[in-house]
Amino acid sequence: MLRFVIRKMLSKKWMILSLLIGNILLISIAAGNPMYTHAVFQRTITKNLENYLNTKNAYPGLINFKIKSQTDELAKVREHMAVVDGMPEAFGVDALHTITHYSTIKSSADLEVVRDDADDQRLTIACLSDLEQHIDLVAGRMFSAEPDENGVYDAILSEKAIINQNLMLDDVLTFSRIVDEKEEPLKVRVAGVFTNSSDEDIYWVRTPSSYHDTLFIAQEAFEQRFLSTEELPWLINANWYVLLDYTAMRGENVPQMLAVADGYRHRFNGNAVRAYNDNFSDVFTAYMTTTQKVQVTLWVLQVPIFMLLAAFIFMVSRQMLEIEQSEIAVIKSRGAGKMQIFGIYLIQSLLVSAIAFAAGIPLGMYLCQVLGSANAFLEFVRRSALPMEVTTEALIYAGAASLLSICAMVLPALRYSRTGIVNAKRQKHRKATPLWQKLGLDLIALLVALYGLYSFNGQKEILSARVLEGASLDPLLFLSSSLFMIGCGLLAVRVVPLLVWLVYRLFRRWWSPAMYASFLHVLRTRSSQSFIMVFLIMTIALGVFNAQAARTINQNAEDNLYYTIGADVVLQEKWDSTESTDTEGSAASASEVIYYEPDFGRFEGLEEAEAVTRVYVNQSANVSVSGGGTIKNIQLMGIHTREFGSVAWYKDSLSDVHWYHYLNAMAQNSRAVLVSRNFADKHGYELGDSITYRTNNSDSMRGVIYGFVDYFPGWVPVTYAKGSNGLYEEKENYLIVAHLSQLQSSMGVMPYQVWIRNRDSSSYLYDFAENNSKGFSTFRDAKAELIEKKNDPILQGTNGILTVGFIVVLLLCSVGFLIFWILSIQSRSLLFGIFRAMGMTMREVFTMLINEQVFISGLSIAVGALVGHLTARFYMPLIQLAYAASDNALQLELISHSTDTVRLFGVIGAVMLVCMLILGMLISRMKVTQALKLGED
Amino acid sequence: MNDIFLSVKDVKRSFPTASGEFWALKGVSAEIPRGKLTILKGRSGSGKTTLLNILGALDKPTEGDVLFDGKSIVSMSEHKRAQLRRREVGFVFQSVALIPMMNALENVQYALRMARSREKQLDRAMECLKMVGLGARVQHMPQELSGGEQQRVAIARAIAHRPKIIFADEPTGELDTVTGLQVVKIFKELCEREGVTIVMTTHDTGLMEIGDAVIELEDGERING
Repeated sequence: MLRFVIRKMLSKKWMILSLLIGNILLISIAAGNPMYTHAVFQRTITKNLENYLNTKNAYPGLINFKIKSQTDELAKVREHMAVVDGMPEAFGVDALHTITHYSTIKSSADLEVVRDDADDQRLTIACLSDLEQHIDLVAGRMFSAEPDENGVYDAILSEKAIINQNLMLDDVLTFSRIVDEKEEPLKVRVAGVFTNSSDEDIYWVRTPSSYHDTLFIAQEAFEQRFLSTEELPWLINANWYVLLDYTAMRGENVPQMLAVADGYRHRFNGNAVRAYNDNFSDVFTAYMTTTQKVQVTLWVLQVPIFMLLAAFIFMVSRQMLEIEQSEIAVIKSRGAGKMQIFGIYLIQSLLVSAIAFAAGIPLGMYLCQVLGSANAFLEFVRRSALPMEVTTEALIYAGAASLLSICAMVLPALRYSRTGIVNAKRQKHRKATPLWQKLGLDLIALLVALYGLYSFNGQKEILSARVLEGASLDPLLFLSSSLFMIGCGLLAVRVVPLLVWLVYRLFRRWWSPAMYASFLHVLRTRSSQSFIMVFLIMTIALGVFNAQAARTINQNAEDNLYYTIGADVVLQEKWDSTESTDTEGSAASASEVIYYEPDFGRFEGLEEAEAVTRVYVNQSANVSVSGGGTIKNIQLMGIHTREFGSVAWYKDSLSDVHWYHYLNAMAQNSRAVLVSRNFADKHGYELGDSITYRTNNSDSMRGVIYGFVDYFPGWVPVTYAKGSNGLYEEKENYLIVAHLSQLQSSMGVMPYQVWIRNRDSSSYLYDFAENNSKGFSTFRDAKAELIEKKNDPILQGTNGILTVGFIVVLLLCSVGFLIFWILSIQSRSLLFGIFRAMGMTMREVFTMLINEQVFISGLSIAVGALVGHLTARFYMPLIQLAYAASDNALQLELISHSTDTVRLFGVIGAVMLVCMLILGMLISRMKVTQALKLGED
Repeated sequence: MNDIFLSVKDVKRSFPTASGEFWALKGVSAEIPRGKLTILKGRSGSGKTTLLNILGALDKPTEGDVLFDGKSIVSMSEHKRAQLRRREVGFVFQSVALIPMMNALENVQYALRMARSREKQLDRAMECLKMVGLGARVQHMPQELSGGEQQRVAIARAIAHRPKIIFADEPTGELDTVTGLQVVKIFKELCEREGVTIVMTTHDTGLMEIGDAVIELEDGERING
């Protein structure tokens, strides 16, 4: 049977090849997703941990476990030591160091030789394990493991300690309250002074200088003196530092590690005696929320691609079965049972799946690399390669995908093996309305989708607040957009034939025989075409949607960033002032700080800057409203109108008139101000009204309102902020824009921001900062932030998936298209023979085919493009929320790049052309006599 | 007007096969009289269908010539041959070859449309269908008709545009004797009433007597006359 199946497959190599393409893509995408998320998550966790290291300047893999031994039990210390030793294993990560730090509580000590300058010394005796390997002695000598013949212990101190405690080498301290069983007090000699041997050494969880009142003696000595008896005569603090190798922390182990950490906390924390703490739990918790969000978003984006792939495989197998119908009939007539026919197709699909599995997993890995290097839609950059590996999760997903595709391949066979050849033929010619049309599934899908759209739109604010709280966007939203596409596609299949019928009827008299025949073909063999129509509509719609979604997400992210920053670069220099030089000034003088303005000319002279301007920004201005109240926390901006216009970033589509009109209007009067529309609406201001505003350290100023703005560079109208109840709430921000000169004349020169428009890159500013400036207190580089933003796993994954989805769509569309048409021609060879025998010329046969292409493929493609565009238009504002930041200032604008459309339709056009060429070749090679099967004898 | 409609001059036809050239026709000459029913006879494999295809301008001979109403088919362009088939020739095939997406009436009308007939197409189509005894079921799709009915629609389609000649390849092959006889009777009537020339192949010896002329082939060669 196997040999038979292989022979059968070889005879249908093109169909099998397309099945393979579909299967390989399906499996590679199914396996690729978990591999990709796994890799990205790994990169994210490593990066987050490194971020912790860089920003907090603390080792992210640190565990601090401490007990206070009050109960005088040595056994207890030993018991906890065992817990500490078990920690690396419990977390599944190797420890780089496990540091034991014992210390006594502070106790007063007396110097043997009393000096005048020495105060009452209160010191701690301590030991740190492996201390000798991590220090350099600055003076003196190392301690020894044993006390000397007089019972004096040698100790070493940090540099800070010896200075702070006013000690000198060879000083001997007597701790009269720390006595041994012979009532002899403890004596410690200052033997040496140490410093850490390397600044990079992670061993120094606490810096040496933080041990400014500690005498370190050898660990053996400490243990022998304080821990050798069952009864602890002294309160001992035992501190263990476990430094887990954070670079070995795996993303997939995070939940388990969190659980272990929680277990420790649960077990030990809650009383003052002992405590478990680590640095990574917070990082992990934040990571968990992100990954969940990323995972849901990425999966949901891929659902339509999966559906298409499954549909494709289903379509190809059905087509193949259709041409194999007569073979099935022959096999059946020779006595093969249902199960045997079913078995043949099962073996065939298993073979296809096996090959696809073998090829799909490496391809999936490759796809992941593509995903990882996606910078924007269809754009790739060189990034460090993702740490890729085939995970069990990936294999499970791939397995599930192949199971799905086996079902798609075998199910149609099941139908054919059950119904006899006669029935099948009869069914083929019956012009029954498909079930989904009778049930009105298209309308139902559309209605559900539109209801979803409506209800989601209604709760947009809640949705976006949820996203900010770390929730992922409701998958139902994505589902509803997919449903919308499907509904539209099916509806089109219902409606488009009516359109064709109308065209056909209207010009019935004038159709040439070829056109007439092709119209009848299109109209009367609808059921076999509805699938390719749905398929084409869906692929094109998805392609257009993917392209627009990606462009929109990227462009809006970029626009928002530039808008909120306000210009290419916004920076604020550190200014000298009376406040900073005179720290001990009285309260009165602090309120009248005088600033020393640095030379602004340095910026104007920068060659790489196309334009620069000064902008005064104060977030907490007040306005006195007519009712007598004061509105606080208004953003006040002081600008130089002409310069500002040439520097600031603004999108013309944000306002009806060009924004320069506002600046020009303002330029007419030195007291003119622009006020944000939301403020004017709320508090009833009109053009020409005067407005009184002040800052915390200025007198009231009067302005005349010359315009209302909906948007202004650097001003975010609405922000979401965490309210007192911990939930995100919408907050309106108000804005007043005044002339900088006006503000300066009434408040003096206050530190202002420098806004810069770059000619090219902003790298020159880093040199500038080093050579010509006292440093920046604010430095926002839009380009750099954009790159940072694009590395965000959600955005990056989205770009990757949309890109891969787009490519897959193109591939599927091309292959599906070719298969359908080649089969359509092959199955109609007899018909073409009849037409040719009846005297139809080759040209007319081509006319027929082109007409069919126009009315089946062409219309489907057009409808697909429309559906894709509509889906993007309706759903993008909602889907965008998943990528929203708390300062999403701008209204979403749907972006479509003509290059994508050109690419999409270019490829489709090329495929159609190739298809027509192949069809033409097939037809011209078709011998009329052979087609008619006249040459049988 | 010449009484010979088709004259076949030493026609040879070879097909390339795996074991070299296969000569289906090894030099056949014949003359087919105008307005008569000529029967091409021969066993299966004798080359009669190959000859019929050549006569009907569907295929070209490897050597030799065919004069179709005085014009050489061999030297005609593909386009001209299509025009010829469209206006002057009607075909009835052994494997019933109706256009599946058109009903019986439309099938017949389509031949008129193809030939750009100036007649009232509906009337002429109905007339032809009645002529073959199928006045009632004209709105039915081909697959809803029986084999005999389908063959009659095919004949109606072949005659609708008033061709000068009809080629029929085993038109009775898949029909029972009674229906077969009916079909041949229709042909005979056509010759007599409309003066159409008809060439049909058959291996049914019972029908042989009805023919006005018989050309018998064996192994690609003519064995009678």
